[in-house]
Amino acid sequence: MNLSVANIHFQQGKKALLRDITFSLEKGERVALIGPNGCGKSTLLRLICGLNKPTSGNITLNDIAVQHYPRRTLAQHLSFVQQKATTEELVKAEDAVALGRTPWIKAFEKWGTAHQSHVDHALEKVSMTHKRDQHWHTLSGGEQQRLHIARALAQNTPFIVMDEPTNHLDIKQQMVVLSLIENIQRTMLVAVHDLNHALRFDRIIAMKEGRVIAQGKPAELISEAFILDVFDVHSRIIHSPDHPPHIQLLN
Amino acid sequence: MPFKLLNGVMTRHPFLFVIFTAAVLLVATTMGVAIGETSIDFATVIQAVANGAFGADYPIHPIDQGVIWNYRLTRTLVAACCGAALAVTGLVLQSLLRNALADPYLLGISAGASTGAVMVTIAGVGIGVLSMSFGALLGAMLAFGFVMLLSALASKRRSANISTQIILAGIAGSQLFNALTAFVIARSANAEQARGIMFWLLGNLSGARWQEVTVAVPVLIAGLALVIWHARALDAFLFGSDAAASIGISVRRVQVILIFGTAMMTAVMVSMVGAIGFVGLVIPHAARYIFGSSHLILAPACAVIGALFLIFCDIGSRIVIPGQVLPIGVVTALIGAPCFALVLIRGQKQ
Repeated sequence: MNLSVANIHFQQGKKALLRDITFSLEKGERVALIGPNGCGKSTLLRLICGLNKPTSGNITLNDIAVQHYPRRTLAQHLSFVQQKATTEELVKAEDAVALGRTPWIKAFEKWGTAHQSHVDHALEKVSMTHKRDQHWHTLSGGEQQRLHIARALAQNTPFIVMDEPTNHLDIKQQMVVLSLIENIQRTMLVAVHDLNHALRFDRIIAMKEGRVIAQGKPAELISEAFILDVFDVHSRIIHSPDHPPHIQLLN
Repeated sequence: MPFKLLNGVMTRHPFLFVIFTAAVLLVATTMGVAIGETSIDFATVIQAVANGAFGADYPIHPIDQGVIWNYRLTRTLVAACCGAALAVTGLVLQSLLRNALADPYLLGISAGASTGAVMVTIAGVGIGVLSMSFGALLGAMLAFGFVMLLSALASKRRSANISTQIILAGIAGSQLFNALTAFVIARSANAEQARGIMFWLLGNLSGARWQEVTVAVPVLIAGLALVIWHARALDAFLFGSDAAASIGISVRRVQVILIFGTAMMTAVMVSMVGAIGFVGLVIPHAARYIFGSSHLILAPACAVIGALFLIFCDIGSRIVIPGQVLPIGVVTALIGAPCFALVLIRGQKQ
């Protein structure tokens, strides 16, 4: 599994949302995408997932352009956890996760034990097995987000893309979701809005105003000057022997 | 909960359930034929049907035979088909567009049908060549095409939510064609014609003969098969069209196939019996409360409930006021609204 993004340009109307974006992901790599609101993170993820087409440039997955994949085949290679997807319908937690099997099941195929075991494992992984029969609207935001991740796991793709999965969650749930992401052994590209969360990834790609402005290992990339440059915020990085480094934001 | 039990039986023993629903539909149809201004007992009904269908030789008065075979049976069968078709169409549109208020007439079909009908009957377009039904069918298709064109143009410009574009285009199209209908009526209809059109718009099953049955049954079967074939794709729309796309659904293709297919099915039904309201909006909601969210179960369930609902509404329309047939649309709303209110309240308590 490798993803390559080459010279991507994306325009909507007269406004260029993404300019000349180039990077690649190796198999098994876990990459955080950071940058201020409106810098084009979500737009870029949508292009990678084939939900929009780039104006120019190429996105290839295993050396085949994403647009050339049939939808179903693409969904067997890549799953997408959206920022906030919800439903008004009366649906059980387990059924929401079972949707992840859609690209693997035929129109009239019977729901078999193989599909069920993928769903069971996914629920187990996000610790939602005990709430599998509860209805969607009775669950908290954090639990719903864990179910979306479980849905992506049940989809059993080598590559998972997530758009700010810890958004709208309280701090406890943020930690739960984050350590969950750390335990998933897949290639991952995750848009992250909290810099401290980004420190826990293998690599960081930083965006600003529709461009990639820097990328590298968290320890090498993140510095007070860098944060001031990208986010326009003063900060202090606290190193401690017992804990991972922590970014403190200053006024 | 009886619903839970029903649901359990349905998923574990689908075969048993098919037999059960077939039996219920058979009983309902028999009731639809037997009950009316003059009641006919069940035995006579069954004998008359045997006479008509298999050439059996039961001694039945020719008038009874005619009323049962050529009038009440066809009317009941067409009612069942329309109920099923409208309910399934409502289900599909609500699921695809993620909108609880979507109904079969959202895309301008009833407005177009009424315009087509008044063009033929009142303005005299194509008189002698076009029947009112055919005019209504043409009008419905024209309005649907207009709405689709409008939503395609609207969504080309912006990458905004296509569902919203379709709904807004539907409202614009419906308003336009309703205005055309009103214009034709205001310009040249006399009071009698205006009344006739109003009755037709509220639904009228009295014209249903074997010719209508032979159209309605295959159209319903084709439409229902199309929807069941795409049942898993419809499930995938649970979290919206982007989520559907990312689990492998060709969103645009599925939307085009299902919206076009169900729209044609609805257009055919409306051209025969008028725009029967309420069924397509309410039955899918009721079915969801009972059967959950899997479309493999919901689609046939909506068809069966819709068919039963319209058969019983038709019976109601014939016996509520002696010597007079109420427009079926009035009955569907009068019976359906309180039933739906009950379902809503019970659903809240769960």
